[in-house]
Amino acid sequence: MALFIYGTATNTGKGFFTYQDRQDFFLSNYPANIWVIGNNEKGAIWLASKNGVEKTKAEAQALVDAEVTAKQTEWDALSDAEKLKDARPTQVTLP
Amino acid sequence: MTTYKDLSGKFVRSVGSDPSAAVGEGEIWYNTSSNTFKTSIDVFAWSSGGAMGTARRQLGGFGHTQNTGVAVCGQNPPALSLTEEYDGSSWSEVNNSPQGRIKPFGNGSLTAALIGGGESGPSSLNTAVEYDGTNWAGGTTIPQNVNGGTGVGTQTSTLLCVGSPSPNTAVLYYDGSSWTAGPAATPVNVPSSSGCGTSQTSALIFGTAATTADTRTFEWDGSSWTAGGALNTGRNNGASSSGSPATDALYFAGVTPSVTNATEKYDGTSWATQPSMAQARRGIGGAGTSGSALAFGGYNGSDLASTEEFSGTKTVKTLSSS
Repeated sequence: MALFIYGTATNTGKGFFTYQDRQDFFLSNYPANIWVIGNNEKGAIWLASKNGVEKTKAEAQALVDAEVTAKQTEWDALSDAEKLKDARPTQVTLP
Repeated sequence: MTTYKDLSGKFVRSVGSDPSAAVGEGEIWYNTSSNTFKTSIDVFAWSSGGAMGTARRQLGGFGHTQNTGVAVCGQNPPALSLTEEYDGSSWSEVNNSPQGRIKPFGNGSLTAALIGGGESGPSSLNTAVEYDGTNWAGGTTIPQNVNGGTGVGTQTSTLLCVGSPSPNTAVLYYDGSSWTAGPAATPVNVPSSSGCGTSQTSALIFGTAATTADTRTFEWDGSSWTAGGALNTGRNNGASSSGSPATDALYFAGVTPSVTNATEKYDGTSWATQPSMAQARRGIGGAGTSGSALAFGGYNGSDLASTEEFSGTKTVKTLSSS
């Protein structure tokens, strides 16, 4: 069985993931609203309850890559002075 | 051999059912139904809080409790002067600070805080302003420009590690009205670091590296710096439970150089890994205490408005040999 479920969901703020959720399953958020969720019943129910859309790992990684690449392109277009204010976004590899 | 009775002054109780987690705190008992030894401990986790009104990174944060956190300035990417206050569930926008600042330092409580330094254009700033919970006032001139500095303590007893423009190991004191040079420079340059402490004579600085992961931390007693316990995950550009004393700090997020969601707690001697945040980020703001902290904003490829709350619940746990 795969370790993780991958999906997109929009963080709505307070209560979106609770203390108990963090005890019940692994949960980690990435660019492009990608969530990596521990693959158990409670994790699957959580994603469904958040109106999440399940993705394959490859689909999720592609969404992350597209988001990061777009931000890198934005950073590359900044002036040299602006670039000094923060580092270029780096690629993210999903677990 | 040392026994439990030697340590606690009493034998291990045998019980048919577990006491409540609150009653069992700090005790070990034997559950005759499950044939297991048990105890009650605080189990911590990050959960989601209300989102800020404006997503941003490289912001300032202060506030002594989770329910009185303040987010100020930052960038997205222009320099911002926006101020928002957290009440435990949602953020409210309040009076802007007088000037937009990227990477300001900030310390103090909701009703008595100090922010300053940072940058709003091509050069760094040498001004600081006080916040009373409603208004920004009392602008002062810092003896030197500060960008990415670390402020620790209260509004009237601030320790400022200048850190940047790099290299800069200067330490400054603020007493509520004027700035003076501190008695000893930091052992290393400390740009983009974080800190905890209750005054200008009791502080802990961590996340000291300029560009690479560094596990070193430094304790300050008012006269000299000594090495503190080493971080398990070397990083900078994270945030701390800024209301904590130097002997009870929480450090979260940052750059390793990859963006991280690592969380660690300091007990005055060593750092222990804690449950990770849900969202890895850098350039984040922090407030609260080590047992009730607040993390907000930052950057993970996008500017973030999201908030996470760190809290614990007393929980009965079964002891095992592993």
